Amino acid sequence: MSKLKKTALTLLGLVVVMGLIIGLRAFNARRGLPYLPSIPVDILIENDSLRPLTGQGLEKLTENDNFILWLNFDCGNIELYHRQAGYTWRSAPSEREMALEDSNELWMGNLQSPVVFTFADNLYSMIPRLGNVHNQNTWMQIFELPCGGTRVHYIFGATGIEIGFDLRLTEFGLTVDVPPNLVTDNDIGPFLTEFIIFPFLGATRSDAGDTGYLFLPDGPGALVHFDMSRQFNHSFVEPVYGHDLAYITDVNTGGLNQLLGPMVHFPVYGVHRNDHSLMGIINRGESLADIIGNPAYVQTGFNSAHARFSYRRSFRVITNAQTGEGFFRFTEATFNEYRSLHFHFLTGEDAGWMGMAQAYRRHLVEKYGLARLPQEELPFTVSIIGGDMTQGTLGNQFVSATTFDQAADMLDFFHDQNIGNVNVILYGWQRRGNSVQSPNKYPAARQLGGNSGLRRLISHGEGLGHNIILADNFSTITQAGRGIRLRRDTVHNAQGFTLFGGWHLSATASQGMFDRDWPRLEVLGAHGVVPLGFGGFLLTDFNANAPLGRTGNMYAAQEMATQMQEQAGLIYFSWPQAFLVGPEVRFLNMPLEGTYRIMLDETVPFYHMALHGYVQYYAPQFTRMSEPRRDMLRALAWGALPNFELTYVASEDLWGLMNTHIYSTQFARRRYEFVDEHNRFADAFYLISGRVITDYEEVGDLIRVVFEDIVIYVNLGTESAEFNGVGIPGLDFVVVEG
Amino acid sequence: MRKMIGILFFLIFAGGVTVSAEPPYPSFSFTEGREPIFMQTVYQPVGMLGQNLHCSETGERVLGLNNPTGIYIDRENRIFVADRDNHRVVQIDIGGALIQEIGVDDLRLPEGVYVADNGDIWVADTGHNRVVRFSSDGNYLHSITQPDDIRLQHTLFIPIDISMDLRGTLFILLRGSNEGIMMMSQEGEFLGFFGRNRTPLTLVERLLRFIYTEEQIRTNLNRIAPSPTAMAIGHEGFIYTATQATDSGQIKQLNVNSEDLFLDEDFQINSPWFNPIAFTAITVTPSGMIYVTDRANGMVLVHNNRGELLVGFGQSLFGGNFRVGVFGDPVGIAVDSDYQVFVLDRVYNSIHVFSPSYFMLNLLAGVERQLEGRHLDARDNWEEVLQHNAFVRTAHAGMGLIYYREGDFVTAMGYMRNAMDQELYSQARWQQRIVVTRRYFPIVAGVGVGLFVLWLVWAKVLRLKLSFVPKGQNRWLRDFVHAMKIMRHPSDTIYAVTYGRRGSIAKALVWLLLYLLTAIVAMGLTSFSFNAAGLQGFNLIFFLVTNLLPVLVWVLAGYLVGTITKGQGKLSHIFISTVYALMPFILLRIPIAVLSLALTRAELGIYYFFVGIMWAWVFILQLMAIKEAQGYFLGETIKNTVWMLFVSAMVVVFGVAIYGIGMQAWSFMDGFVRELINLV
Repeated sequence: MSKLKKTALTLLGLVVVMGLIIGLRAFNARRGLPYLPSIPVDILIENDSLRPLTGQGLEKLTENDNFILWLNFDCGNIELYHRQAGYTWRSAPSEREMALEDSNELWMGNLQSPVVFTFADNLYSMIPRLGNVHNQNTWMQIFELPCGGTRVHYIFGATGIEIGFDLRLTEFGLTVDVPPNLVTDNDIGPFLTEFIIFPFLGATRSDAGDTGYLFLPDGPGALVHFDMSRQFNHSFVEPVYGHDLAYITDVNTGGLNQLLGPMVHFPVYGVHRNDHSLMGIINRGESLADIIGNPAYVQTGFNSAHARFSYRRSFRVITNAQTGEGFFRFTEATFNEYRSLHFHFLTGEDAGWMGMAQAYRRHLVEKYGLARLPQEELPFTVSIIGGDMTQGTLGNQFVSATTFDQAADMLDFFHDQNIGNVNVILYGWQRRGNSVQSPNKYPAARQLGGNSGLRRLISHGEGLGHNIILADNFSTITQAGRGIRLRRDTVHNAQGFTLFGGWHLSATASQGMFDRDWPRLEVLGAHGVVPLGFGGFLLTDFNANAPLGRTGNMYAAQEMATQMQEQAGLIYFSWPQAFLVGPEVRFLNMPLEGTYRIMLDETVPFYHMALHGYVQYYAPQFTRMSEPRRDMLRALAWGALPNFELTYVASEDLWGLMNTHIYSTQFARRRYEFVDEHNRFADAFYLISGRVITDYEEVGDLIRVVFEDIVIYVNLGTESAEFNGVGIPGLDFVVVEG
Repeated sequence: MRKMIGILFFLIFAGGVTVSAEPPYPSFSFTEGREPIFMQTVYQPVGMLGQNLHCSETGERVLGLNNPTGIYIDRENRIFVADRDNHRVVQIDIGGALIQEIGVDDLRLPEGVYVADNGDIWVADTGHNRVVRFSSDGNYLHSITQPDDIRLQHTLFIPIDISMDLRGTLFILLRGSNEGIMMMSQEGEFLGFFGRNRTPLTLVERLLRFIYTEEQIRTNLNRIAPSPTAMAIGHEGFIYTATQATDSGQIKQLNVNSEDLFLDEDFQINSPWFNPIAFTAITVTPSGMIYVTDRANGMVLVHNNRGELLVGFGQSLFGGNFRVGVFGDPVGIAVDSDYQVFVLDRVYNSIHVFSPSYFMLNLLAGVERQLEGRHLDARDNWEEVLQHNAFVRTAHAGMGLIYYREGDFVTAMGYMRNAMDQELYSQARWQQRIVVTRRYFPIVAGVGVGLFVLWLVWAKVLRLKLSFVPKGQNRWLRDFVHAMKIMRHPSDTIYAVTYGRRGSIAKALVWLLLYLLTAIVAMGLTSFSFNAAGLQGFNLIFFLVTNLLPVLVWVLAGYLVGTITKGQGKLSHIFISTVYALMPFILLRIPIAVLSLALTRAELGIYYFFVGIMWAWVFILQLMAIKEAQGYFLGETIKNTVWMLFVSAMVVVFGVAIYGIGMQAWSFMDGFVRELINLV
């Protein structure tokens, strides 16, 4: 080979390698999104258009009938005077309280800082550092907002990070808005990762004589009492609406189990201090927030609760899919979202968690346009399982749990038992039952009776006055098909690959699937739908073709939920997320227990109190309860409607089904028990329907709950007992009217 | 990835049930093969105990637990904890009140505690290498240090746990001891070791033992038996040990002769979702229920006194998810008389407390009554259990036993089948067979005699013969019938099908297919007494690997050995002869399966005798096939058969190696491309 030829080949090789590198860089550039777009787009006010305000030290900023707001022009801390309570709330501890604190310099600075943030020196930094107003060569600007309110804007000189927020006084307290244009970092780092506005607003010290508790959104709601005799080594840190799985590129099964464990369903926290309380509601940007509760001496000597907002998150770059090897890094992409906190300040009798729940109820009613539910007969809600796949001799085979004709027989039985207002939710009715390979879902399973059998069942139910609701999945898929392509239509993870190999549909594809599928269900005669998995997995979509932030996905889900209600009638959501609250919404699986986090002292039905009378919600399946008699009584006390699960076939014959985890649902075995349970509670549920919970008291096994003019006494113990002069038999309840 | 999708599916189709109403950990029942099945909560979380203690008299806060390692609950439900890093033993109550501190000035890093029936408190004083005895009110009585015994010259006396049997003998668990549990009198006299674990050896190590000298074994194969990690003594006198890092015998039920009544059983959980178990603590209730903690999966596993895994609950700690029942490092377990479970966790410096659910109480009561022989009294409990969970096999077995005792053998068999209990099923079948035989014997005998008379008339009087050879022109059919002659005239038949016109590759393929179908049909037909699984869980790939692949490897080995030993057979000849030599299996396997339907496990010998005959026949025909196909003499045949076995093993090893290298190469390329994409 001539020298010239060798040189030419070498050059050609180099060109190919260079081309490959450039191509990959271009590919990466597409994935390295500058930001994750969201909807809706707000009109943002820039600082240039605002009038600067000047002052020195603590100066009165504004006031209304209920409050006076003071701002410290030196550092941005606030004080808020509650006229009715005669009490002042501070964003930083008082000098007397600080004198008791023995934290290091960094945390002393954090305690007195209206903004605390974390930043990474570079995108591959493992441990972000803490920054505050006092350790960052901070420059602060204050502006007057056009429609009332004040803007505080910080430029942190040490890092180049900027964070600002708008303050507005309202009739309930204070709103703190963080428009996206007020939060920035620079391209070369350090990089902003998370920030907190007013982290120690309302913080208390037990050793300064404060009594009270932190309210945290664990399960239905939980309290952590201020108690000097206990010490914890960890905080309550939970992402609102669960973890964003798009950042989970590789986890072991145990880890994933925990990530999918109990989640925060509503974005609320609070501090109850002596006779006063503060409740924070994350009104916008909640899907990017963690709620943090710090009992005293976990971080500082203060009890505090706050919302922490993410700006960018880290993920593990997997370099070996087999072994899971890889390294951590932060995304280039940031969350440029609008964030907003509503602080409610309560006092006297309203200061407890019940007052907070009622304030949150008012917030939900106003935000989502909720209307009072009418008083109505207790619906007999029964979930019927159609079938599922199991591993057969020569491949997988369908196992029928309840055919459509058998389901019709069940309805006849309930009709004969004089049970009206029956709502039947059909699961596993499609091809392959509960192992349906979405999007290839239709028609109805041939082994159960096919589409014609299902139509017969629905018309039979209609004849008896029952509603038949079909469970269907518009959110996740297991394979491509029916126009859906895995790369194009499913959510991509932070590494740019399809999440779990193409699992969760993008917002657009999900909406498209519902638009295409609902007419099919409508033709079958369905009276409603249970959109499986809907709202349970809020994700950031890194699909370069149509990226969408987590908040954007939340808004898309809200829009789709509204459309489902308009088109499909009866809608049941499996995940009781607060962002899905709306008129005519029904929630399945409302929590009846806390999550047993060891720092929590008491579980309270905060969420139930906020929703009852406006949103219908259901207890978990009766057949899955570990203590059915006790749990049903608690369900009544918390206003959660019963829900029964049935199969025609004996449970013994349903071993080894792929995606059906039931163990005691046989119709012949349990039908009378279900009817008895329904009849036992029917009158009480009728009386409390459409009424809000106004008072709640739980002492040991005894519960007294007031639904306006109806009082329910519940005894969870096995022995008879007396509560407020009312005798209650063991494992029973008493209703007192008027 | 499939695991993740599985979990996500579960959450979607279970309607997110784990999110709301249940404790923050799952509960499982288990199949007889220890495969987990999701179930309702069996143990409810009650709370945590120990991190924050208060004085029982003044209510003031006192020092909480610090790295506790041992827990014991005595008959009066008093809770004792070896509070290691606080150098004390504490007695606390369920409300978190400190009742008494024991050995504050005497103990150093105590790790185990036991309370005798007379109230004396025995402590494994690990830091001082001794065992200390205190009176019930915490006064020091005496201590026991390393016995002066020649047999203990290589043993370090570092006690980490202690217990006592009914005769008052102390059983002391020593750190790092591979000799087993040390037995001592209360006066400190060494009585010997007990319950030594066996030394795990790999297959290669076992083979090397035959080759190595004593010295070589001592120096090169000096494997040490794992020491037990925990022990407990049951009320019936058995000593129970739990051991980590062993492939079997993770739980042992040892009698006085140190024999494991669980027969070195493997207690692994059979699920890809679970890590290999690592038992850290064990306790036994008066009714013989065995509770163990599994550090690897963060679970409490409950077994009955036969070692059958009934239920499990709990989860491993991940991140800062500190909740009751989410275990960090569970190092101790105790159960009080109300079946409340106390799990000592040194990550939390606390005790997780659980109370049994209504369902679990029924399950426990059923097991207890059954153990006491009150089978019929357990009926209500079993019915209640099955009402709320139809997958609990113990309850099915219990109901089966009740119906068996009541003489309803058919119903009993149904329950036993659900319980997958072959022994009891077989007993019920035995009884049922007696009933049926008594009822129908005259008819069966009459039909039998009638058939015999008919045959006599047909064959002896009329001298007629029944020919199975078809008379028609269908050559394939005639050749197939002819092939069956291999059973009686193997040499001729093998030669005819291999080198004559009686056989061909196509016909051999049909026979091969018949062989596979026969295996499947026989699997499904064989009685539950002999094959509990039947066709349930049939996996085609696994079936082909275990049934077809050996045949193909054997053919390949025959060909390879033939080429270097001047065998005459081509690959096609060897294939045809090998397949035809499977004829005994094809002809006899299904009849044997049918026969099994009439047998019980008491006649296991008869069943396996016929199976043995069948395989022996196959083996002999295979030898004949090699001989005829390759043209070997008898001696050559035997020698080359051994070579074929060796070559077969090499083919398998080579195949596995190629697969492994292929996976490595794929992994490397995948990682390389991913890294390139993310770092360029």
